[in-house]
Amino acid sequence: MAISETTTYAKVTQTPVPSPPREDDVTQLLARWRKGSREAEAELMERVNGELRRLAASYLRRERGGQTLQPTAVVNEAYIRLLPQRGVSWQNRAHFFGIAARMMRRVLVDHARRRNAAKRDAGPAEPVSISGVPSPAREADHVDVLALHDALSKLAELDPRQSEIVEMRFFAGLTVEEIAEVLAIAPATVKRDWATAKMWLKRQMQGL
Amino acid sequence: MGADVWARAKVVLADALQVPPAEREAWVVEHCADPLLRREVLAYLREYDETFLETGRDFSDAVDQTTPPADELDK
Repeated sequence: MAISETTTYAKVTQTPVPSPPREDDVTQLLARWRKGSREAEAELMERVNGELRRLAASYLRRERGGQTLQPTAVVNEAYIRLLPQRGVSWQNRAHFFGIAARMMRRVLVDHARRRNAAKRDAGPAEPVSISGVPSPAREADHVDVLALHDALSKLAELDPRQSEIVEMRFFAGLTVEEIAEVLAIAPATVKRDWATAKMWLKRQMQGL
Repeated sequence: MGADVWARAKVVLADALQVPPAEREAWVVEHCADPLLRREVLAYLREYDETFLETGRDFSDAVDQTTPPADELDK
């Protein structure tokens, strides 16, 4: 009995991802960052970035072909790994996901660029696509990461807040209320900005 | 398009989305006096795809257009 338990435990711990930093550190960093600490911000970014990159690499290795990734799943796993699940306010959760969204976008863009560079000699590059949060109503869209990234960068010049909203919604799956909390604006404003940002991005990505 | 034009266009667009789809164009023509702005807004409206980049349920009510007015619900 004791032996079989030990065996099971050994299997469970054999994950390809190294253990995360101590949980309570991240909670404290989040609290300090929200009070305006630059130092905490930098430290937090580094932790989140490191965790997302490790997780994304591990996901992509496991995936056949390594092209499709659900960013919100990666961000959720990073959150679970980095933060204790009890005693975290929804506001802190929202701010964590707000940071993670920006990081996740970079991770995916870097991956797509590396992949295109590696394939350049072998033939035309296939777009690296990602899927959003699956909706029960319909299958999730697959979106070309680099095309979305370019369009979002252009949108940021026109309307930085709209670009941030799309980033948080698309790359980390934040809800209207969470985005409203992170940006300190009304949920109704988030909804309006999201709806019209999508219109702008669609035309931009179609080259219209 | 410059940031100033987009800032005006997105307000008209968000308001137009509150109107039932079939009435949107007429609504824009009625409420948008500036011909250049109106042309831009109509171009965006014609390309509107509710499902584009749509990833979750909680945003499906983004513009509350699927909810009929309260008086219609009573019928």
